Amino acid sequence: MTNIEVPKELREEAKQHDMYLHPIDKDTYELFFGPQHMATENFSIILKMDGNRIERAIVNPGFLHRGFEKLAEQRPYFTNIALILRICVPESDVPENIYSMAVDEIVGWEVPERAQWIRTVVLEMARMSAWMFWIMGFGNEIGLYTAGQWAAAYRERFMRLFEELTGGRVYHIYTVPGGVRRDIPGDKWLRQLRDTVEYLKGKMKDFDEILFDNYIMFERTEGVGVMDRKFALKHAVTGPNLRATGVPYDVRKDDPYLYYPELEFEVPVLKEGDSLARVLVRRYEMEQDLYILEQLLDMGPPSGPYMVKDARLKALPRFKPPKGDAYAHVESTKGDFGVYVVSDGTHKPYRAHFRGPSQSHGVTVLEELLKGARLADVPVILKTLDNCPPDIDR
Amino acid sequence: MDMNEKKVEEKVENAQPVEETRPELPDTKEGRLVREIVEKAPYAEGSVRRERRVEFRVPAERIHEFLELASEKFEMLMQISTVDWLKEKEFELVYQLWSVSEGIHAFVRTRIPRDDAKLPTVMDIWPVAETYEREAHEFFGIIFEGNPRLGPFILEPREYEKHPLRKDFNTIGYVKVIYGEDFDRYDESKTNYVI
Amino acid sequence: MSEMKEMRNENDGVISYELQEFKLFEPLFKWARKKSLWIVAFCTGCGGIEMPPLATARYDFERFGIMPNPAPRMGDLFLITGYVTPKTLKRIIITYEMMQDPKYILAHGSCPINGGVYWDSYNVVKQLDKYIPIDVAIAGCMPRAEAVMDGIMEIMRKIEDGTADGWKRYRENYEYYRKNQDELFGEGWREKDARRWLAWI
Repeated sequence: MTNIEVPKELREEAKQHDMYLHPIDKDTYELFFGPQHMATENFSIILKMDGNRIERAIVNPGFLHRGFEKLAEQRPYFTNIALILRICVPESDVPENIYSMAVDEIVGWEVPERAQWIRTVVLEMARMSAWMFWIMGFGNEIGLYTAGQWAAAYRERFMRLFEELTGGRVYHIYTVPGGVRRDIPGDKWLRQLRDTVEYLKGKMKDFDEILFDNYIMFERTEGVGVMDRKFALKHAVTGPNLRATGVPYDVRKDDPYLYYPELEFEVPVLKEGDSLARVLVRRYEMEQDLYILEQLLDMGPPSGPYMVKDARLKALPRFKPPKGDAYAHVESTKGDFGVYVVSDGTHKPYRAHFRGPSQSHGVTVLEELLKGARLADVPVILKTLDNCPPDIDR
Repeated sequence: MDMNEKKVEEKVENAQPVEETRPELPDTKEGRLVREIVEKAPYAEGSVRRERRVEFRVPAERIHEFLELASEKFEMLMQISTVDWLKEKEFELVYQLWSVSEGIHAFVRTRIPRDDAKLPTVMDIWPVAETYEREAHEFFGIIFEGNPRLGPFILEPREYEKHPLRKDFNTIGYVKVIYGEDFDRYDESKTNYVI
Repeated sequence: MSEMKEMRNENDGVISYELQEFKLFEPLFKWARKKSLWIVAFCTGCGGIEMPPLATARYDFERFGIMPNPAPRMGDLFLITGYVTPKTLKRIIITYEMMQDPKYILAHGSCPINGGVYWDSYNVVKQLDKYIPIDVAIAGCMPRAEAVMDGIMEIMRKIEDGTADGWKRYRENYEYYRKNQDELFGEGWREKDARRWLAWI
């Protein structure tokens, strides 16, 4: 690009009419990518461009910062559930669950079997609906809109199931410390869930044909945004992005929680580390998640209470756990989602610090991967990393 | 509101760290790992909290040295959590490490004084620390020496100067100043304010 | 509010929005505006997650002539999907001013009305109506897709009535809105920040 001479007349005209943002006689210019952009979801990247190549990218987050960690210090333990689930919008059950797990650990509660089973089902359903959301975003970014339309429609099936179970479509406020808020509606709900799982299993083949086995997808993603194993570990990349570089790290296997020790599933790993590998790892994980849901339904919900029995639960706003701290994390579709809760013995948490997976792969990693990429690769890299801005901002 | 604050104060006063003798390390993979690291770094205190959770206490001046040693076993730095202990006039920094090879999570704790909050950066060990340190700097005002990108990151410059996650930052007072007093749900006369 | 009323009375009949020679076709224009609302695709908050279901098979708002479009210059309807932080509000104001008249704002969720669950947060704008004019607000967190559809229907009805006049209010009371914006962001934010994003401002 540097060799092209801009005609003198054009340059003068541009200066007169103030048509260009930045002087045209410079080789590089500054491009603001987002926040008003479909791919970024209210997140901004400042790109220093040299023609069509990106010289340097600077991530500018903070458009979604609400100060959750400060607000959590101002609210009682159980009220916080209604607040902190808003950290991760596409799978709001993840923050609920990690927070509940951390409080459970501080109090020392053994969550009843039935509640654990329900929590596992809810987490897996959240994962499936988040996958559908991801297919939608990714399909739209690379111009395969049909896949996106289908995925959004299939996601609605999970939304309907969530609605019947919890009463909410997007925000469920369902998992609480000590168990879950209410029981499964009945066998009919379980049958509906099984139908949905069966239905989606059949639809995975259609997704293969239209998206995952599509020439356009291969062309857009192969060799784009490559990272190697060492880079990924140093940058604390987790989830499918790490597994696409050859590290079989999955919180469900390595730090098992809830019902996962009793389930059989594989952790798909690819070695290439490029965008294509990240897409394909996600594709295999969808299959595994459907398989996990099927296993859970085959086991059936264990009998027993769905909430722990404790006298302290009678006055929820005044519920006080003992002093202590705990770190809990689960595997979300974006990666390892963790929380560090500190209790000082009062009825409000002293500190709740969240670790969103996008905090690592959405800032430094994104900046590194965008270096030298083309402008058209930006949405592909953003979507294959599965960047979730509310994780970073909180 | 007043009552709650009083209670918090009392509790914080009680929360003085208790002197404890070094516990015996169990003969598990966690215990072996802690022993191995503590042998190499005798200035650190190590203990096993439960299965897959270990804990180290390190003096602030040797934190970089310790983390460099620990990074051989713990490949990933998951988060740097800061806790503001207002009554003790200290910040507690908890480096959350995860070992992919062993499957162990480690808390590495260190304490620094609140009015002179300075630490060496660990960017050279884990490049991702840049983000975490920027965040800790922005919300608590801790200075990480050697990190070139400290400054407004998530917040706008006005909020950045206040370091809003510090315990002495009065949120409701600030909200009233910035956004006006005409928002509902705030009642000063309510002593036991529960949201 | 009294301040606003005074200013409006003062300006009554001063600014004419309709061309006199096309007055006859005004009902036709209103019908056309109502039936072709293009949404500025700017996901400002968590409500953005209800946009894909609305745009796709289950709720499908394209049958009402509604379409998301990334370009603010082509937009008619600005959906404020959820809470607004000051950092976003700057971009919202600039985007809103870039839109062509007539333009409408639909505030989505409790947060733009009074702060919602973030009523005591230091970084969330409590009353959005002080900074930009809102035509219809939907309460709830998060409003169901049906509620958003209902809000859009309300906007359509208001366009037909001629009561969706947020863009007129913004022009007439520009001083009032500008004063509030400057109070929140500090004087000179347009010159300092916005000029960096868009050089022609």
